[in-house]
Amino acid sequence: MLKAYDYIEFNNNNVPIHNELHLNNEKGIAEQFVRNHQVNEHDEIKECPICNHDKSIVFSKVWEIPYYRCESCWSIFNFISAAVVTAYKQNQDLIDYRLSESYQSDASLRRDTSWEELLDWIKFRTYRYLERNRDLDVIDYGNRYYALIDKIKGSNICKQYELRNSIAMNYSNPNNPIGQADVILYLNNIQQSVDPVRDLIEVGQSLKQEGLLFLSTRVSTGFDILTLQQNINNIYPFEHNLLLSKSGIEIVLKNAGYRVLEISTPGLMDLQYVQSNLEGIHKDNLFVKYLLEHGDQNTLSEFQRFIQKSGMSSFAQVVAQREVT
Amino acid sequence: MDRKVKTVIIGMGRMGRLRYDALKRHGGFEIVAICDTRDSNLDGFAERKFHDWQECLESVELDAVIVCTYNAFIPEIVCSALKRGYHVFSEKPPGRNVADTLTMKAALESSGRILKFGFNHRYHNSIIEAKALVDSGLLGDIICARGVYGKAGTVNFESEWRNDAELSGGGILLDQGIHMLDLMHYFLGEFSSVKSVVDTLAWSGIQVEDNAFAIFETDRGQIASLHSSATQWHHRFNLDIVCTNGCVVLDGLITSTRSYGEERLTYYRKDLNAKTGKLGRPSEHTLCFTEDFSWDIEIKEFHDVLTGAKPLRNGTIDDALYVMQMIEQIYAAGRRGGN
Repeated sequence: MLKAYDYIEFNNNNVPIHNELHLNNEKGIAEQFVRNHQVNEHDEIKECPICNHDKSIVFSKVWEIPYYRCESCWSIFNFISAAVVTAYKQNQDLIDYRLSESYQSDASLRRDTSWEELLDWIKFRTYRYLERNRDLDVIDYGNRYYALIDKIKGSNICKQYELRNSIAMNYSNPNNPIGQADVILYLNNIQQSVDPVRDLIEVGQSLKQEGLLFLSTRVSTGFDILTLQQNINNIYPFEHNLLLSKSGIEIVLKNAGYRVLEISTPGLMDLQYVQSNLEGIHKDNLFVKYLLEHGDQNTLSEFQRFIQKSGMSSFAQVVAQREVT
Repeated sequence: MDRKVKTVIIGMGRMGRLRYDALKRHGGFEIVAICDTRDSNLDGFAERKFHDWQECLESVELDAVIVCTYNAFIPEIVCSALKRGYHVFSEKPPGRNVADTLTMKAALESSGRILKFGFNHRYHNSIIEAKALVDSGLLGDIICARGVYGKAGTVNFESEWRNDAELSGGGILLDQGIHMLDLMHYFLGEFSSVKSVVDTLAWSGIQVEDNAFAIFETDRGQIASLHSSATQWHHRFNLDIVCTNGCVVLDGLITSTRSYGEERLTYYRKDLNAKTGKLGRPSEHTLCFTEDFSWDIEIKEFHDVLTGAKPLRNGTIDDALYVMQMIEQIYAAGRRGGN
């Protein structure tokens, strides 16, 4: 199996990729919605919807919504109905906020470099598996950033571009919808899913037999998530309903009729997330506390690199192909 | 061919056993016989056994021959198998010199069969990824390449058959450096000039070189440098490919001994604006590999060619002839001392 890691030694003066103000505002809107849509949940043991293991235990509770962790495949999930998630996605306050000029321009400023890296990765992997990386038909699911849409559409990867299931649909209406695509981008979508296999089967119907699915997601086995557990402040309902583990990703894709070509965990933010939430580390987790209090910049950089290399970063990039039928 | 490929392996030393395992894993081959002059190399196998390769080829009904012998015996066995109408997969090097390779080329051309040589490194994960990366255009055009391939040596190094000029035809360059040379050819194409130094710098008891240094240039002005060494005192594989917009660094190689280190490919793009905040430290992307599928991919390619599924793309007689000509040029231009 390919293991891949990225390494960027950021200067302290660099702008962090996340804006705390925007994150808190989004969470505020989400919390209001969630508290108005409480569901009757019980803390009983539940079957894992990913691997069907019969033992899942409560991992955390956010705004009274319990998250469960499967003791077998380590995926983390809640049990929210599809109707509630659909209503959340249609929440106009959240849509308006995310499409606002200040939100979009801030995201563009902070994420430009990572978006360039994403495009490079897509170009490289597309060439690796298709032996071409130009003039491809690309379907992009859920992309809500105008600048990223422009970047993808404007790159030489694209012959035709179609945006689907996005709050930014009005920004990029397709003239000619693509029937089946060479490349499908399914970036940061699956973490909102309540039925990932069904969703991926539906996505696969728009992918050519030899086409490539690029999927990215937060993963449940990442260092920051397992360290901070219930105190992680950027995982919240109903933005995140499912955090698959690496094995969970493989199970879901296999059940949806895909062949996984590679899974890499090139996330760079694990230590940064934990460092920005030191009080969230459990008091008994002495090693991590000591590391973060005493580790110099080189040590922390090396530790982040170790996390990435070992598949324990909380951001995964996946390339998959439909199984030959 | 809609049945298993009936195959014999001539030479059941380390390479013969590696190929045996790969053929078994593939499943599309039926190993009908194995052949080696040493009984100990044949012990433990259930297949029909021969000590004489000619008797083996005469006695068995077969489709393909895998040749894993010392260099000196490769041309005769390959030519004989081709003349009998068998397809052939042969270990590198393709003989001891260009004359050997030309002899096999002539036999191939009159046979209408398939001949593939085991330039196995092209099938390593890092090489496959590097080729895709360079060909994708992401890093621009190749400016130059630097390759180091070195061995640690062994207690019995001086008495190994590889250092017997009669059996091998050359030293570390022909034995191991040939892989790096094939990769240089794979990435950069053909070279128009060669400068070199070839010498025995430390292993005074051998008749062949223990170090070869070479610099090549293509018609497009691209430069490649190669250091093939039996005095690295450490197993080392390193290949840098510098391009107009970035660089690829290959380090380590997964082998059966796991002694060349983890196989890694690191690449970075030119970053004159220091987007990472530090000029000279662009963001790096590293792919690392913990398994070696090269033997399986190589055998699969051979099978695909035999069954007509794909044309022969790697390890062709032209690839073989090209690297042998390069090696002779390196020897001719650089040999010094008492070799």
